[in-house]
Amino acid sequence: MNHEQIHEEELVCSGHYACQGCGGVIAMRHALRALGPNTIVVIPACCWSVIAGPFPYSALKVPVFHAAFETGGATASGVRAGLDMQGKTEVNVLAWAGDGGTFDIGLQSLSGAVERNENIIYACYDNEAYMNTGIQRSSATPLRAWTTTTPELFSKETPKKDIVQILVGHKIPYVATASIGFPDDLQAKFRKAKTIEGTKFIHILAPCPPGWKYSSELTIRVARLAAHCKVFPIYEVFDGEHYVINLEPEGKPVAEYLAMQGRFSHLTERQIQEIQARVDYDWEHLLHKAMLEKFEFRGA
Amino acid sequence: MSELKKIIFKSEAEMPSSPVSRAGTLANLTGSWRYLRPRYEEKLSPCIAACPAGERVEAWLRLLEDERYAEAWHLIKSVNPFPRVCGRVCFHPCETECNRGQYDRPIAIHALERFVADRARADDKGRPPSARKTGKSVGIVGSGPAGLTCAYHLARRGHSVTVYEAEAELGGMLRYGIPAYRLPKAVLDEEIEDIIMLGIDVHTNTRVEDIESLRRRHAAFFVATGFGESNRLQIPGEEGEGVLTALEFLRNTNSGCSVEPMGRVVVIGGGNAAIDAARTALRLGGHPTVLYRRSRAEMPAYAPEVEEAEREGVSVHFLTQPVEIVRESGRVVLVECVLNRLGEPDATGRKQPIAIPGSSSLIEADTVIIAAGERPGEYPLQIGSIPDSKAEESGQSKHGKFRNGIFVGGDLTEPRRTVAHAIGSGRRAAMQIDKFLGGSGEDPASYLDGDVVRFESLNLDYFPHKPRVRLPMLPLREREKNFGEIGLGISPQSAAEEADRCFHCGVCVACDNCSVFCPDIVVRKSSDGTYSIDYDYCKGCGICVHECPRNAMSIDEEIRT
Ligand SMILES: Cc1cc2nc3c(=O)[nH]c(=O)nc-3n(C[C@H](O)[C@H](O)[C@H](O)COP(=O)(O)OP(=O)(O)OC[C@H]3O[C@@H](n4cnc5c(N)ncnc54)[C@H](O)[C@@H]3O)c2cc1C
Ligand SMILES: Cc1ncc(C[n+]2csc(CCOP(=O)(O)OP(=O)(O)O)c2C)c(N)n1
Ligand code: SF4
Ligand code: SF4
Ligand code: SF4
Ligand SMILES: [Mg+2]
Repeated sequence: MNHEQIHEEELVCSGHYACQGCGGVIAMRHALRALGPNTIVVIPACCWSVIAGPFPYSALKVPVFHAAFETGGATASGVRAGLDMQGKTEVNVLAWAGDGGTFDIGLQSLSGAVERNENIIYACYDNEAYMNTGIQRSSATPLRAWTTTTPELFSKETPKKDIVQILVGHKIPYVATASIGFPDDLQAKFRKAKTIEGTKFIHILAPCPPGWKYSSELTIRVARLAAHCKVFPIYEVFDGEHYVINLEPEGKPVAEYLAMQGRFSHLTERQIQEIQARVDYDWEHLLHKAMLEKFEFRGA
Repeated sequence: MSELKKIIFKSEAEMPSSPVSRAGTLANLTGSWRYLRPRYEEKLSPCIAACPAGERVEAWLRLLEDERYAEAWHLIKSVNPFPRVCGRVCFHPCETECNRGQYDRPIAIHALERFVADRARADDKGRPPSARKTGKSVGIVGSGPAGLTCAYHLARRGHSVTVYEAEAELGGMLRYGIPAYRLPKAVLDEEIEDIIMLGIDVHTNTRVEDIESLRRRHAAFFVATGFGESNRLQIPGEEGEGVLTALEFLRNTNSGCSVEPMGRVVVIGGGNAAIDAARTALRLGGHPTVLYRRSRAEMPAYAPEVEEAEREGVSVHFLTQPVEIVRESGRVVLVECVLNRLGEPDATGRKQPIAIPGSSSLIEADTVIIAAGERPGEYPLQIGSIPDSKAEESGQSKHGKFRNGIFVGGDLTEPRRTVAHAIGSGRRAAMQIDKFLGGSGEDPASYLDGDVVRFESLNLDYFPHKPRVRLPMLPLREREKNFGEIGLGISPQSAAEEADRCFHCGVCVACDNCSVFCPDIVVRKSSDGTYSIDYDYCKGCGICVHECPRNAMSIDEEIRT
């Protein structure tokens, strides 16, 4: 990637309020770089509400609409309608929400917008808990992970909700997963989303050093490992039907990914095996959906 | 910058009617959060640290990757005048140390060095300009790789150089020791010619017996007379007809003297000279057997050469020690041997051979070649043990026998007797001599200091596994009864692919990773391709340092005063 280009196209401002090594900021940087300045961002309550800075400052060089926690889908729909009424159909509307705001409290407004096939991009930067309020579990929190509301002895007993399946069930034109570990792929997906009419949903894995309990320099390494251990596969689904897998996982054991993070430090050998079995099953299932016997490369 | 200012509303009237932002976040100097400080710090690549000739391997690999052949060649030549030789015969410790070797297989540095230099020679990229004459004259005794390298660097610095060589032709062991199937004479001749073209005065067939008699002609001397004498076995029958040393034998074949039909050849010894002698005998139609008194593991010869010799048909008998050479009517007929077992390691760390009683046997032979190691010739020996060049630098030899201005190098002083060590030694001596004569003595290989990049400090996520280039070799059939070169060159495409495997340990190649992944958008790239960090905002997360694939960055505790 050419750097001169990077700085010109940079739409996130230094001095923002994210913690050291925040994956959510890296996600935003690359998303906006792909979408360009002609974009309005809608941010329901989440870490990014804080990262963007207090009044009268803003860390984004594009307009931001701060919205209530559960209203990402609805507010973005409204902004879209307002712009369309003014004939500004070329402006991108990006709803940017956390996993809590997407998987949990914002799910109905998201489903409504999606069902209407609103012409918006809805991106969920997933740090797998309610981080802004102090690491409470969400339905995106993985099986057995520690959070302040799922302490070691009562670690989370249900698996992570499959949000992609839920969105795919709405039969929208484009659903994709992406990761800050693979910025070229992430950017390609946002550029693609820009050209598609209707609702686009992009689910981005965005590791969080304080919430996942790893040292801040490892953010990218953790994100890459998630994909290579098949915990977070990188793929696209078109029109709710057609699956394309964009990255061949190296197939590293999931234990390697878990071992890097304090939120999994209480796991027993047996629990790790259970997680591995589930990951393997889900990957097989994804291959099946992509109608593949084994991985075949196709870039985003 | 107005953006940097904090916005303060003095009254409610100044505030907008709805909460709308007025500025970016640049007023928030997040650099104050930092307790670790990243910085750009290049480090030494292991290949560079390991090259005895002092080549900046990583840098010329980078040029080669971009197909900048002429620049790569000039960079090598700024240090080493013998890249075509080294690409063929150097035992390449650079590859042993190459970090990629711990990942899949090391970069085939020697093959790439050969590719660059062969190609540059074919393209004839012109010769490096020589410097202004200094009017100082240096005498060089011995024209092996050490002597010629020293001559090359001194001439490039404008000194007048005269080389004295006892043999009829230049090159030392490169010419009279190493056989043509490993180093074709034409290649050697061309590289030597490039050196002599710098205006070097050559006196061949001139054995220097006494340096003092040359004192008036030269202000300084470099003595690199090598290890030209052979050790003896100290067993009965080793003097006389049918027995010769490996150096004599190789010297004869290498200088084109006709050699008698070979028949059964027994080579005694386990070093490189033994293997070269056996393979040469094979090419002359002989049936060579190598006898070595220890096992394969202790063999001092370069293992790949031993394997190649065996593939060609040389048989090697290990743990076999000759005790007497028996003659009949003057000719050698039998070598009496005993079998050894290995005992405790000796001072050199090698297991000591111990004869097994009653194990004696006889091997028939027409010629016996003794390769029991080499030693310096008479000349330096008569002036006492060999002083090291370090002592010479200060102008006084440890032994007090050399006067000021005499420097020594090559096999005579190097801890390891190889071509690359001799070249490095010749270059260092040239710098010392240059300084001694009032020059700067500035070493073209001055990058050799610094922390060497360890494999563990690389981030391998960005390096897909790729096979090492296959190095083509002359088929065994075509090696029979001729001295054609057995190592073949590689194509430009394979060369580029192989160079592309290089990690560039410790060196920034402007891949942009540090900048791409920085969450605080503080890594700036200037137009010259270098990076800087805006410490007003860097929070010290360390991602840039961790994601640098090649450890060209470092991070330390932030110290605030
Ligand atoms: C058979 C053999 C194979 C080898 N193969 C390899 C190999 O594959 N790779 C490798 O790295 N190394 C190899 N070596 C070692 C390598 O050749 C030497 O380390 C290297 O040549 C030493 O260089 P030098 O300049 O110090 O001495 P030399 O190359 O020995 O040159 C010394 C020169 O000084 C001349 N001389 C001696 N006395 C006088 C005098 N009084 N006056 C004038 N001239 C004099 C000699 O004639 C000779 O030309 C091999 C050695 C041998 C013997
Ligand atoms: C209706 C409502 N309930 C609770 C909150 C408090 N709140 C603000 S952000 C947040 C958590 C957000 O979690 P998530 O969406 O995962 O984003 P993250 O902070 O992890 O980036 C909560 C509970 C709120 N703002 N509104
Ligand atoms: S990978 Fe490249 S830079 Fe690193 S040691 Fe090997 S050749 Fe040198
Ligand atoms: S990635 Fe950016 S913020 Fe983090 S240490 Fe490096 S320069 Fe500083
Ligand atoms: S990450 Fe790339 S650009 Fe940055 S220092 Fe390392 S090599 Fe240079
Ligand atoms: Mg969250």
